[in-house]
Amino acid sequence: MKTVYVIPEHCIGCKHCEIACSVEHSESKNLFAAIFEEPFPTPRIHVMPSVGILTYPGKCRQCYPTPCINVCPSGAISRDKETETILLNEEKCIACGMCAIACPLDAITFHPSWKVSLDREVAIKCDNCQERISVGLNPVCVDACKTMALNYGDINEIIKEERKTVAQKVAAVETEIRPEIPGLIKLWRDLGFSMMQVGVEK
Amino acid sequence: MRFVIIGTGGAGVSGVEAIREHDQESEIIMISKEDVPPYSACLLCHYILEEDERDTIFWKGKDFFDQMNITPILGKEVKSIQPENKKVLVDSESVDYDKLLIAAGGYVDVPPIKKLDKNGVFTFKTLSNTDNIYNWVKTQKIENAVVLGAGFIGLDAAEGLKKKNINVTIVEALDRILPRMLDKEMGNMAKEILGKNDINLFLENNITEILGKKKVKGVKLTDGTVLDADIVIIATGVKPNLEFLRDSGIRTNSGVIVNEYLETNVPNIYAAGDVAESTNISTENRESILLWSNALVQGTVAGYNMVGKKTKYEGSAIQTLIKVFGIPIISDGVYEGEELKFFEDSIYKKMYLKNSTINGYMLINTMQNAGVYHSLMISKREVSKYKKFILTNKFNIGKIIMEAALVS
Amino acid sequence: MKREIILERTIDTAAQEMLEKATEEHIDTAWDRYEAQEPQCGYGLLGICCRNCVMGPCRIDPFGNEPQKGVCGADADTIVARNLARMIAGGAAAHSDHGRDIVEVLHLTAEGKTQGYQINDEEKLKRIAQEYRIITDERPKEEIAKELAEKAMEEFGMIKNTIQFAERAPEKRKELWKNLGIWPRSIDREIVEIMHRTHIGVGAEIASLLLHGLRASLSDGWGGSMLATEFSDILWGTPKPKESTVSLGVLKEDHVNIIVHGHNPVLSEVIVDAVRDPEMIELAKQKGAIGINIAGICCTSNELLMRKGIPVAGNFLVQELALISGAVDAMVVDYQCLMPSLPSIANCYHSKVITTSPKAQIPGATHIEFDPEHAYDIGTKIVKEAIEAYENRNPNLVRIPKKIVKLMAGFSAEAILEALGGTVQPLIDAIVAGKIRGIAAVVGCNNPKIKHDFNHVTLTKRLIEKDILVVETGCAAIANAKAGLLVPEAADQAGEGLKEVAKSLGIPPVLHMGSCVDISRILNVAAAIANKLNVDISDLPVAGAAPEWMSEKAVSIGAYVVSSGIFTVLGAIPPVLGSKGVTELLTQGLKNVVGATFAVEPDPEKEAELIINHINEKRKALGLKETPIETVM
Repeated sequence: MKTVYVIPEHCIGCKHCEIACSVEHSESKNLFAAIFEEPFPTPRIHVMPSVGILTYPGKCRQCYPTPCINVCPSGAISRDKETETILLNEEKCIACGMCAIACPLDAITFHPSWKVSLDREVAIKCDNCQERISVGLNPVCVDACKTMALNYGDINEIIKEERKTVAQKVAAVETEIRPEIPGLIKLWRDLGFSMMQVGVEK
Repeated sequence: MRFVIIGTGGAGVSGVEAIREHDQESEIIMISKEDVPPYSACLLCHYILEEDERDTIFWKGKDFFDQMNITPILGKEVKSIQPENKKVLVDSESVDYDKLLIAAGGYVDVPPIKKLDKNGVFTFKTLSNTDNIYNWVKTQKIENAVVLGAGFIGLDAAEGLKKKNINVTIVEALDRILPRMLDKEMGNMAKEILGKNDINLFLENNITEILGKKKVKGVKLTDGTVLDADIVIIATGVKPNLEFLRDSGIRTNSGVIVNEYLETNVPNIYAAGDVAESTNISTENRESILLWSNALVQGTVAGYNMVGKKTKYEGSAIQTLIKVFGIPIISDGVYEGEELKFFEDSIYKKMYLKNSTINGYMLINTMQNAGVYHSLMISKREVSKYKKFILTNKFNIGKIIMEAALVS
Repeated sequence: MKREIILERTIDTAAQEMLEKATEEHIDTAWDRYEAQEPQCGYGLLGICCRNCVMGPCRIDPFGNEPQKGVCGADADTIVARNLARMIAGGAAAHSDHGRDIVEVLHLTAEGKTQGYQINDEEKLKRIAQEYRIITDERPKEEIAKELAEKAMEEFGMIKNTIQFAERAPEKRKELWKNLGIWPRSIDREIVEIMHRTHIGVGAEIASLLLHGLRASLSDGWGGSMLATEFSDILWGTPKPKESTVSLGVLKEDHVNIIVHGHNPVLSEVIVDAVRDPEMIELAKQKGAIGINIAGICCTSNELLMRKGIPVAGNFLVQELALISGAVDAMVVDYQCLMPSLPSIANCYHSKVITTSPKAQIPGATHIEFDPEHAYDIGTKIVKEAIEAYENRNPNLVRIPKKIVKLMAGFSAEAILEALGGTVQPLIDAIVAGKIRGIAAVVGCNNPKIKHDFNHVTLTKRLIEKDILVVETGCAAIANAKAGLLVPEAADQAGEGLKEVAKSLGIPPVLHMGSCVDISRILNVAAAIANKLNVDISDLPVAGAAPEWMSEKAVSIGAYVVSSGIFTVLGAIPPVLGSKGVTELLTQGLKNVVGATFAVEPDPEKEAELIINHINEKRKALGLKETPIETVM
């Protein structure tokens, strides 16, 4: 399946993806109009502090197996047959929270959605930007990410490619992979390590 | 090939979906006591509030049987199963099966109460229960309600009634609310939510007698207290529906005994959902666990096995969430081992570590990291280095993934 | 690249041709780099990131989530106001440092220390010297110039505590500035004070930050920029109407092509002289060229066009395209609006990019440092470089667009007065009669976010159709020159009233008033009209527009134009929308403070409506005719 995959070491914590995601999922799809919308648009990706000064863009990985689908009591979550994206029908969602606590990546949050109503919260999760991918564009966070921390492609292809170069697939989650880190990012990351060292000595 | 499914609850529905994923041709028959399309029991409390919510409970659509090409037998009860003839007896008729899935769910285990047969006394488990409650509330002048049981069905019912401006009193036999989810300390914290929302609570008490002539007027409690009540809801524990299996030769314990492929001791008969016993992945005991999420997974696993796709059931998680007046309360695992606590700004978190892994946790008023804790717990990941801040806002999935990425 | 994409990028057909060539040759331009930047950072677009200290960087979530405050406690309002103030500081600094360089050259020239410069407009020298109360009678011009230059130097310091040219503003306006406490004290001081006020832990209140921003912008418009204009006029002559040509078609296949680009005429003036040096022409001929052709880009071009009628190759977004023609032998740059991409594009051809200012060096360029004391020698050295480069020109890579458009420029305030017969009265009469409904200044840059030249041209056309006289500078003027609106015949595209006036005076309906520092000329004209009518500038039926703006200089210009009382419409969205407070202040609150506001409107048709409505309102308030008089020729 084609999905957004994360190279966490490339993330520099700019939160650009968050803004782009919020805007893409707003009613107007325009930053300057979106900031005046009610409810406020909300991102499906969350950049969080990670180890040392490193940051991590947390988002739904469209996992297999899929705990959020397994626990949803209202049939609001399903996997799109064509794109294999896990989609959330906001109309059907009752915001019970089951999906959120089942999600091993803490990728589901609750907010009012302009598609449903101002008055109630619904579960909000990454939809791989269905509208964009249907016309051949990348999900918006991928285009927003200027450091290649977020990428879009066929995960199996990428992993195959990875095995050739890095020899080993990494991480607890299959979509976390590690290609060569560009020089500047590496420098920045090493800086991160030295900062961590300082922290340890203290 | 003919598949017969007893029950149209979560396990039955996911079982059918799993079968249809691989087999669009074979005949499927679904049998239910209730004369309605499959609905989600978890949504009943939403419907108790508003009639126009009733349709939303049909979570797979009202046309589910057509969608899945299923022959339903509704409003009829399964009396017994005859494995030797591969027959299910439904009221007076009999239905042949090649593969049978028992997903018959559970029933409310009503404790012995005197004069129970008054109008206005309900259990709250099925759609018809809920229809009855709804109509009673709509047609009668209701001022006071008593709910027996402070488990999550009881709290759901209480919240639903409270939102209709009814005085609600909960009576609970044990010393805390949500006794299956919380320990005494966290139970006390959760109790505050009820207090804030003007719900009266009698702990370590029971209803001994229903008062009133034909119609309920009140209840009498173990300690002698008499409470006015225009409606009484019995929301005590749920037990698996095992009665009709008594002479079938299918072995039962706390629930139907199944192997890891959810097959019973009788060939071609499977069981899933509340009716089946399964392994609690936290305690590794075989128990009747009765949680929606496990029911769905069991249904799916059973369905796959019934069409010949060998699939193992990995055991039941006991992660549980209830929102009480919008405040989430989460429990998971076993509360034994080293205790960690984080109480701040009406957010209460408690965690138990054993052998440097998470053994169990409770969260009140936050859902943050619940899924992360759960996955760390079931994967038995070493968490001692996060111990100092695992319950604070500083902890997140990013730390774990990045660390894994950096180390490897 | 698809043709449709190119058509979306620019309306300049010569530019389109070059974009096609760029595609064929796989050369990226600003448009491609803009695309690569998309989606652009929301925090930046909304102005809610702060890098003013290293407790940060901080940013405010625009959707109401955490964080709502920076580490120091600054909220979105404070951060946006500080950032905007710093943009003004950047713009005012650029204009004013340019002004300072001109003042220095005048000073050196007066002392006889420069090479290749002289005082060309003695009349203007004396007129301005008198403004500074310098005795001019029976003194040699060099002596006057030296004293004047020294007085001008004081405008940058803290001895005088006032800026002389601000006195040119109408009485009411001056009163207003004094009462608001924004009378500019000195050029450098106000800019430095912005940097101080926006330092961590200083100003946080948005009104005081922005008012000071306006003060600094006034020290640009009525200070640094005006000095640049007036002193350039003294050195090289006050512009008079003259004809020339525009578009990339001005490059010549059989000539050595030198492009001068940037903003300051100090260097390019001597290049023009050096190009005419018979020795240079001979050298060019030896190398096989017929002669040496010089053309300009951006405001350096406007300076040379206004005074010498040197052809214009294009505006800001054409700079890379000029190189892509393959026919530019040397692109000689001074400073401001130079794309650092130029050398890498030049490397695809034989072209040389020659940087000349120590302030604006670019990796990959040839640096030949300019200094006024050896100006002519350096000028010839640069021209020689170009001639030598010509030898390496690969004819297979040359493609010069055919398009050449005629234009008329040179409308300094003095030239306009002269055209009117020595007084602004005829212009006032035409406005009163409704033949000219008002005056709009269309100025500013190019910006790849906006279809190149489209907003400039569309807005200008709509305005002249409604009998609004349009005065222009900078890249806006070049855009409309390319669109053929800067010729007297373009009066046919104007409404009847403006057409009549323009035809009778033999001028275009759109007047090219010079470079971006020459917006000071527009201030002077506005002040002259207001003074004549004894009203404030904010009472006049005038408006400003920066339809394709992008630079910090444009922010400073917008700020001083608004604080001078002129309603201004911006075509690109400034990075302020992250703060409700600042946005409201700029678009509404300022009305009660300086009598004018900003508006933001990316659609040029709507932009025109805003301006027309504004001018109608001002006419109404002055009791002028609602509808133009039907004129009979």
